Amino acid sequence: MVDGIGSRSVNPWSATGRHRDWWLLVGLPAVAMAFVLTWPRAGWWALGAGAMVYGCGYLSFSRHRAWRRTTAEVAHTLGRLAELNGASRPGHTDRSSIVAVAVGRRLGMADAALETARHAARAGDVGRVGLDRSPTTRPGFDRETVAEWSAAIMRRAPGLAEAAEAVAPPDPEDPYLRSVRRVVQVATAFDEATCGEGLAADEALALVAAGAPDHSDEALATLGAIFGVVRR
Amino acid sequence: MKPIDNQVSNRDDPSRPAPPGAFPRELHPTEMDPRDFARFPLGLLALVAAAGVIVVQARPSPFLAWLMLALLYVMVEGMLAERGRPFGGAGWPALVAMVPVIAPTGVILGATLAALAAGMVHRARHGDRFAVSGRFLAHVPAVTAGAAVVGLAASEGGWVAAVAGLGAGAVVHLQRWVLPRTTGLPLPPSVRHLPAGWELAEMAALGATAAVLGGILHASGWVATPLVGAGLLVVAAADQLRVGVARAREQTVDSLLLAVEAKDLYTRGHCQRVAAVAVELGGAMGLTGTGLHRLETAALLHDFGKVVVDRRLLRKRGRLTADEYRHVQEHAAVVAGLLDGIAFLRPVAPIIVEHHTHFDGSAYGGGRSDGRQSLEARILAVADAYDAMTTHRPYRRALTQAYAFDQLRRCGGSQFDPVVVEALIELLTTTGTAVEACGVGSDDEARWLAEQEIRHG
Repeated sequence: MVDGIGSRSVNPWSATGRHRDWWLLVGLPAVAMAFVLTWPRAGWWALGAGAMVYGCGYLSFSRHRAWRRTTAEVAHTLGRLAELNGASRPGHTDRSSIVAVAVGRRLGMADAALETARHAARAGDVGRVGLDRSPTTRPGFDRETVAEWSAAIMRRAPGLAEAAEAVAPPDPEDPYLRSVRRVVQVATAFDEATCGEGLAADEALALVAAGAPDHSDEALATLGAIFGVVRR
Repeated sequence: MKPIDNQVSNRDDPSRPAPPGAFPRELHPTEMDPRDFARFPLGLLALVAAAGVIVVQARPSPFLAWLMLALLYVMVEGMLAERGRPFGGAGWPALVAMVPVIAPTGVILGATLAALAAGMVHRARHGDRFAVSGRFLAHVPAVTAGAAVVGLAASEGGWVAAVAGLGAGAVVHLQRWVLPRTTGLPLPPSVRHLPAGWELAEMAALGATAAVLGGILHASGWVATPLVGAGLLVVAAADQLRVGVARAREQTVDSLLLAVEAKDLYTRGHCQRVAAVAVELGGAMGLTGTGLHRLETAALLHDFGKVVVDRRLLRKRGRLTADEYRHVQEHAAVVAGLLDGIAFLRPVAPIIVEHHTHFDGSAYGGGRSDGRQSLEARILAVADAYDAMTTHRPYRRALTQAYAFDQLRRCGGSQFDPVVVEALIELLTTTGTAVEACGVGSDDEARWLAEQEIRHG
């Protein structure tokens, strides 16, 4: 397993551990308690006490879900911005996110890391909206500047702060973010090579490997395994 | 009303090239989000459970019980203070629940301690001199009132306490409304976005639930502490997640605006000025609550589609050709498609699309529109045109306000709703934001000046 992958979700108190159903764990016993403890004194009125607690739990759950949905929708919209602007190829962000999640899952990444990778792959190109189709129209803006723009926009968006750090230069020191970043880089580069340059999977993988800093890159090896390519 | 700052438009002068890397880098980290909250209640649950075990084993004195409550509340408020939340107050349901168990004076003392401690944390972390006194003002009167109400009702026992909990929730709600208005601090997003009546009803319901839980604790003894604690966490989560969702919506609009800024600095400033005018105008025309908030969001995003327009066209000095104009018009259609992908922005998209159609039914760039413009769209159209005329554009210098008023009146009944036009003029005149000295007195002269600038550099 790549260093750092999944390590964050092991800690149940972590801010990034996804306790999607925590309200169920906490709320349902509370509802039962409200009913059982009120029943001997209040009779059927105990249903009211249970219903009040249940209502609060339902509100919590629906709001948490709304928040998560907003996060996903914003990431998707930011990705579409770059595509509509002509700065990314149509479908690039969706394809990259699918590949990134597939690679991450095979590497054993936890759900939290997969979601971060999905958002980072989707919205990571949004900084290109400042480029107007071709980088040459704005001299002085290099790849790093565009990545900074992407990160700046994503940091403002709800729930994308961690994905922004996975995109922002320079390479993060946190092994968790570094592994997410590597998976996203591999996925986006592979999609550029296949759908952008029209290369076959093995050629694309060789091209991505040529630019990789580390030839024992597990993300690359996993990508090759997914597409049935044996790297030589 | 805030004065319309023409200086802002000069700073946004699109003819001035942005330096490389000028995009905002100094961004504040996002504030508390629901994921943090997911960590917070689980930690709290563990603490409550541990406290419950201790209580069952040791049967503590009332003083020890009060001390545990105070420490719990200090911890919660300290976490919120670290996150930069100016007022905090997430622990209020626990306080309400504790009143039937502990004497109201004990609860008030706990809240006071928490307010002071959290205020000091907030000041240390964020350098906010207001923090200590602000938190003190935020917590103590509300908790005192709530404790008095619940305490009195608890002496009667039973469901009277629950009814009194409604009052406690209402008090907390009023405190959240009144305090920002009296101190000048920004309103919490949940308060700003939701209709006041709905917010009040919800807070009252949460207060009643907390009081019922307190009654259960009182009747069943300390053995019920862990389960009552779990119930209180759910109540607190419902309260705090409302703020989280509202904040997420603000952040969404902010990030979309930032994407527009990456494309064109003028557009962002223009959108913010249009939103300021539109909100004032909407308020003057009777819009409130959700409708006004929807208008503000539509105004902020009304030019969002320009993010897909070629920058050279956005910054072109001189008149656009017919093809170029058609290309720019396409942004109106793009907005609807993009905003449709974000659920809470769907109701805003029709306002943005409609504001491009004319009052008499003719559509943007020719043709006819099917429906009648909504009030929000009519207000947005006037505010947009007013700001576009009174600020510098690449192809034209800023026009005077008097000239802009004349133009709006001239197009009243055809392009703009004449009632809205007159409301804007009256608003700007009565609030003293009329600016006569700036700008050029005619459109031809303004365009000629811009062309001269291009020729002579």
